[in-house]
Amino acid sequence: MKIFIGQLLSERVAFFLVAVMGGFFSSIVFSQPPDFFGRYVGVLTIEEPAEYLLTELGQDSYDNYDPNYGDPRQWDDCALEGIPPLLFTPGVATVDLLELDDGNIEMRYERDDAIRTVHMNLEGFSEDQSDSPLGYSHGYWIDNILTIETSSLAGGVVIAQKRYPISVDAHVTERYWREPGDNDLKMEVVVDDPVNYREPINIGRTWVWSPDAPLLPWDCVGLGQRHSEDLDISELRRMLEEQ
Amino acid sequence: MNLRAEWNMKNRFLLAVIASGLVLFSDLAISHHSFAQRLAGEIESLEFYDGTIDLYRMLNPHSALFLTLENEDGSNAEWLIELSSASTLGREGWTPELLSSGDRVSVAILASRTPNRGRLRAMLVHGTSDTESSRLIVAYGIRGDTPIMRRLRDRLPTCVGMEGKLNRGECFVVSHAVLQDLENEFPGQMGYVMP
Repeated sequence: MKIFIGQLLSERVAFFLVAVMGGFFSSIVFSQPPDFFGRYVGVLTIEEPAEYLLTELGQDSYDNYDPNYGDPRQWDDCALEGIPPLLFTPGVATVDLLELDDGNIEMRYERDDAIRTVHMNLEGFSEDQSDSPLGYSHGYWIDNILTIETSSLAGGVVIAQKRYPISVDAHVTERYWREPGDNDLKMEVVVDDPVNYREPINIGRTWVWSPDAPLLPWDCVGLGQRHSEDLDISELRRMLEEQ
Repeated sequence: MNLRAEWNMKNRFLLAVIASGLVLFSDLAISHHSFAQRLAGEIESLEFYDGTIDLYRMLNPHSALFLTLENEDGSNAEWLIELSSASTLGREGWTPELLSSGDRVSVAILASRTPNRGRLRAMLVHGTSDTESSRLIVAYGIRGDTPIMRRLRDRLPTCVGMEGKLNRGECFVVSHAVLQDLENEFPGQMGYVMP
């Protein structure tokens, strides 16, 4: 009888231990980043805020911005689209998310052949990053949400061809996640720019899981400055005919 | 209340109504004016020409059409017309073979302030014979879910293999008879692509 009780207890202890260990290991497994990596195509529609609450300075920038002149691509077709407009391009919206050997994440966009590195740790990070269209991006996981924070941006506008300004001091936070049973990525972008807005802006977009979609080379070709009378159309045609 | 006081009151009320109306009207007038100003750049620069295609290239970020177009005085001028990116047009079914050098065209151009340069609003690529249908290509300013596009989609079949799923451009097949009907129904230069 004593042996039977002992056996029973040891079985229960063993079962308990297995359950605890199993839970422990499964929690480790499930807290790993989900396998987001692959190719996505952004849907055409983006979810903009009902209202952009502009500061006085922001309103002034909005009122005085003409996309036909203010957009750098009116002067140079191959000027890089920056963050955040790159995240909202309507037609050319194919991106590869790659996990690099060093643990960082690379985002390769068809638009501009842009390659963005998301630093998954801040080792070597210096506050003195120079401003650039893509800025400096630092990423981390919270549960199953990939969060990317970007600063050191070049400024301009939030969405290309629209007039909402963004300053070089803006901080952009992107969050990507998958809904249960869905391979598409939901994206929420928060633009925190007290220079231009009284409260952060939230913009959403869905990126459709598209492993078979092509990601084509951009191979930018400039057609000369708009608003310039110096363009020799015949010469440009001859140059393109020879290509 | 005596008659004078009543008259004064009525007058004050009338003046208040007129003043409110003036304020409202001036606000509308200003709004309309600013709206017109915003549109003026497009409306005033919309130009129509006949001519031929010299070169068509699918490029990023803008595809290019080089055209020789006839001025009203009979002289010719070379134009550079921009289209959407090769990246998007290609996904809508456009190919480098869609247009050829020598194709005869009628175009509606959103001319930029730079001489002989603009964006394509619409282009009728004429058939090469009396029996061959023309193709109507529409792009900037009217693409997407607009009344003009709905009008065209209701009446015209789309070009084989082309689908305006990214709202960059759309191509329709137009027979001679249907073109005649469109021109009768929507008079004016390329009236069928005008508001």
